[in-house]
Amino acid sequence: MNVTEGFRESWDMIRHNRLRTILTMLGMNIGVASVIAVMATGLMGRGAIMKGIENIGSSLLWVQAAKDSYPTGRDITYMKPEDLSTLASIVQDTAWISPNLRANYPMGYRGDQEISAVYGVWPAYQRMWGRALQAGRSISQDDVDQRRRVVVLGMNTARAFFQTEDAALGNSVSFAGKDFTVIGVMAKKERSPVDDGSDDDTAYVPYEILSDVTSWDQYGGPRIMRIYLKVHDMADLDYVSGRIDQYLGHKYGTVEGKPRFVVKKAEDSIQTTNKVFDIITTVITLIAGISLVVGGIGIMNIMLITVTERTREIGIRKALGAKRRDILAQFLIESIIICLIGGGIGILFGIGITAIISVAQRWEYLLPWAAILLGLGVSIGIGLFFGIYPALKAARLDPVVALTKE
Amino acid sequence: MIQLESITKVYHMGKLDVPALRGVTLRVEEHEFVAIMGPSGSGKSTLMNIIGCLDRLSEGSYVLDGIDVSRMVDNDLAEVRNRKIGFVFQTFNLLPRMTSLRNVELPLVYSSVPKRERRDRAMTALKQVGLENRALHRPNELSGGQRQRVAIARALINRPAILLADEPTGNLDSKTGEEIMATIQDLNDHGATIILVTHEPDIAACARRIVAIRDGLVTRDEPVVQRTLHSVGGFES
Repeated sequence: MNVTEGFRESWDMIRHNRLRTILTMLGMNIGVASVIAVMATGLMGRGAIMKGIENIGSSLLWVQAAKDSYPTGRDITYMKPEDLSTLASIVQDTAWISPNLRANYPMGYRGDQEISAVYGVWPAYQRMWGRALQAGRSISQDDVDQRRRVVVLGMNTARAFFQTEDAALGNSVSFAGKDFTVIGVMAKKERSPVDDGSDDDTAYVPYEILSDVTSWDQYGGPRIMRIYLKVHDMADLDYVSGRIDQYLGHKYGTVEGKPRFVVKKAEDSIQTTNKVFDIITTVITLIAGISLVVGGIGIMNIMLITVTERTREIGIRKALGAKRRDILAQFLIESIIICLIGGGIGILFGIGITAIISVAQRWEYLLPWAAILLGLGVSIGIGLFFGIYPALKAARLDPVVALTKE
Repeated sequence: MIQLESITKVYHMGKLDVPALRGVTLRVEEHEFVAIMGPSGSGKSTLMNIIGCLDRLSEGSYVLDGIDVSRMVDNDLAEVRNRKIGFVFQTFNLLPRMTSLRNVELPLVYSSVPKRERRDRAMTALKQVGLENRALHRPNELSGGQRQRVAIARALINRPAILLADEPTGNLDSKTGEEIMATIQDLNDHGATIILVTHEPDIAACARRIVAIRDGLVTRDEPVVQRTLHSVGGFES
């Protein structure tokens, strides 16, 4: 019997047992749909996050004390302001650079108070993070040169004090005993795997100003926790990080044979994020895959019932000259067709669910072609795997026994 | 056409060996019309299954149309059944979901005859039994006699060496039964070799030769003296 005949016979059978076939297919529908939806969601979610990272770019890197290198109890070495100026001159043509000095202050406006994280940064800082302003302007080189006490507020703080972002501009807020003129308000922050830890409460002031108002006595002078850089050309990434290592290593030496400072690259966190995403997607896909196994068992069950019901038919076919492989093919084709139709409908459902998720999450719609092909492949595979036993059972029936079966 | 030499068949039921045939020797020539008779439990069904290549013999040899089928494996037997034997069963054994035409062409499907030729030959066979205008009916839309004639058309489709009819009238009323016997006699008159299995003397009397079986042995093998002849009338259709 050739394949066309097999398809014809199977199609007749499926039409004849419509309700039963539909119920059997449900398992495949759900299984394939969930696998596709999970894979597509993973793909789209990753796409959205990667797009967020693209705004910042993988060309970002930062320098900080290598805390892991220090034995417990040992004082950690921090960078000094002169290191910042030296590094700035080293990378001046190849990268943007900015310190990130952090302090927490109660910030006041006409008797209201909000606790706010204040970051002391250079003008390049906002450019390198690509963060948008809701109102006003960001810190300029002129502000730094003129030693102006200016502040860019986070959206939440601006709203708490002034209701709207625009109303904040030109007003003064006070912290650390000084008044600061509001020159800008940040737009709402979007989360990203590469992050400086800021939120919508964070305020930004020129680094020099923040350093001046901070009391450094207990630390024995100003120090810098972290310096951010962004290379203009990705090709310079390793060069820049190498030069920083070289400079700091030469100046500060090592602690217990390990470097005192570490240069971290955003690129590495992107790869980490990718890995984590892969693991999560794989795990959830496997869980969704369990429903495919359940669906397959359903198929096997119904095929076994079919073989039993059609024992006499099998006997007749054998009497008329059907060989084992003819009977085997007939029942295998039948289970594969059930799985393929079930899987096909599942694929449509999966695409639908994916579309709904993409609209709800405002993610760019990505159809996982790999998942669709996989869905079809898995359907055929399940039809074969779970269909082979019932089909073999049918093929091995003894014609005399099968013919006398009522 | 058929040469059975000292055939035995033993069924193994657990520890018990049950002999169904205990040494049957039988020759059937081309164009013969043989009725195999015997009460139930006589071994006639076993003999029929062996002649029909549905079952394998325990000892002895069986040569069908020049081919030794005694030691053949499953798949080869299937091919012999397909090409050499046409079955007509008591319960018709048509496939219920299929039209008459499809039922009749089924043996050709298993011998890989192209679709168009299959159609043509099945239609011709249906014409032969006067059912060309029932080609697209399913078995449950046909009378018992019509169903049996579809089965006969199916049995003849591959131009078999022998037509093996097992109680072909058992599920039919006597008038329809006579019509079926007339058809079978007519086929024999036109050259078909026919083996008829029955326990009814009336039906056996339609054949030209009767072989009686009892307790797994041939007890009588003689020509029919007073043959019952049915004439093929116009088929009801």
